[in-house]
Amino acid sequence: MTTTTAPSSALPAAQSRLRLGLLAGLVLVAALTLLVAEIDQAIANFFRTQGVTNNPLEYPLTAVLIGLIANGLLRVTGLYNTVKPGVRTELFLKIGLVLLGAKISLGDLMKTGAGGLVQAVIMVISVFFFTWWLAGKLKLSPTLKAVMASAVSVCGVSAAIAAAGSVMAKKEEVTYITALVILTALPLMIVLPVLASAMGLPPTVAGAWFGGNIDTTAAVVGAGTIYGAEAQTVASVVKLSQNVFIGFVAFALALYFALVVEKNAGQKPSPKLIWQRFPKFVIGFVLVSLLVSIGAISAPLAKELDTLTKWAFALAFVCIGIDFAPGAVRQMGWKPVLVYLGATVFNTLLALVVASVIFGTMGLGKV
Amino acid sequence: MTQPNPPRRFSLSEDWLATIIGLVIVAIVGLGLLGPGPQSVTLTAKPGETVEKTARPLSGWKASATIGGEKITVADAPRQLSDGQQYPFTCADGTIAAEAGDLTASFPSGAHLVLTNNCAAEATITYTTSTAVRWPLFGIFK
Repeated sequence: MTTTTAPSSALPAAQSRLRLGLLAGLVLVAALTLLVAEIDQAIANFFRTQGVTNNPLEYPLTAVLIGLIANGLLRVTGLYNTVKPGVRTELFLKIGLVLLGAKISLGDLMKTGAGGLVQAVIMVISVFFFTWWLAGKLKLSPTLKAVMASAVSVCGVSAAIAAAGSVMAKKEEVTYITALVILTALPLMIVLPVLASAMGLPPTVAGAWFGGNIDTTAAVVGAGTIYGAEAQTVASVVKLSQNVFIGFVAFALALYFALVVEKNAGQKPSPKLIWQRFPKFVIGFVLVSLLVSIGAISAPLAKELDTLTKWAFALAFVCIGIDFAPGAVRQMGWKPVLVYLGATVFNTLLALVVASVIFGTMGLGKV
Repeated sequence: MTQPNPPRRFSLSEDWLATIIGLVIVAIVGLGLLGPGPQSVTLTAKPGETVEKTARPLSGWKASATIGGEKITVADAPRQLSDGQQYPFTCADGTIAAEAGDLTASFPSGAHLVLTNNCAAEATITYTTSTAVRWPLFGIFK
């Protein structure tokens, strides 16, 4: 038997190449993210000229698209493997998730009063489990179920990313759901105010309906703006109180996957095992959220951190585009679209009933 | 002969690395460890009243004002506030204007904003510094 040994200089040379690739990859991803930011601003300016103050075509789609173009170019030029070490999707996502905690203040739950809190609890729990059940019926993977149920029930893209981090979902699953969230929110932003007007809903009920149902913040504000100032305020605040559930859902999913889904047959879930499998960044997320909730981080600073969160997520989505494997999306097929649309219809109808009862009949909502 | 073991390197899992980076960013920006963070000082004066407040001596301040709830522009509002200086503003004839401070007088530490309201309605001046970390690029995505 013969063995070949690498020359002693091969290891340092490989390490040096790796470091160079890491640096080149990070610079490339940063430059592409800057481009995304510029394009995002141009899109926002276009919508502003059309009278839409919040850009409903949010940056993740642009970022994935730019990443995909870079993916193709890097493969054609043969540079893909060189820059690959710097394409750190998970790292950027997790950093963004820690920073996302700054957006989640428990005080937001109180802003809509008891009515808003009750509506948020009913909506998040009902829609989450309905989506989970429907996705199970169509045999979607557990990770895709978790990402989709969180996105539809809590608050769209941010919740999808948080859930994906907690359950270690595939990058393609996050991209798939993010695209569905943004593309579904756009028509809802236009259609719901028209329907609310046709039904003669009072502004508070209409606002609570938009906030409890539409999955992206920009589209929620957009729908509220179309319906009027009062509806816009209620919609934004209801949406905000629902966002608070990101932390609870991310934490619960991380525990559920560690204890149930990833458990080996015959293995008892010891505290050590749970700790090993538990995504540690959730601790950072909860800690930052607590700092905001107790007022250690002021509102203007939390807003600064929100901008940095978007940068971290934009970096991650550019990486997702560069990493993208079309085969994985083809493998998922059309079933997720059906589940998502089914869950959205359920969400829309339930939000209408709940908002009508709480903000209309009972008059519990205060903003 | 046994080969010496390669030196063991400390390796941090990605989860912890991300958590630490995230918390460091929060500490720097969120808790204002690298500076005072965004500031806001508001002076509200009823008709005939004079009010004073102390602001941090910093550059990059922006002034905004209202008279009777209506937004107006403050003429010649200083953007840099110096320590131990007084910055008087007067509301008269429906406008608020900055006036020359007394450079000879000595004041306690801090920049002293003074608003004298000779208008018929309530007047306010708000001085703010915009961002915690002034990197122009981070204005994008807002």
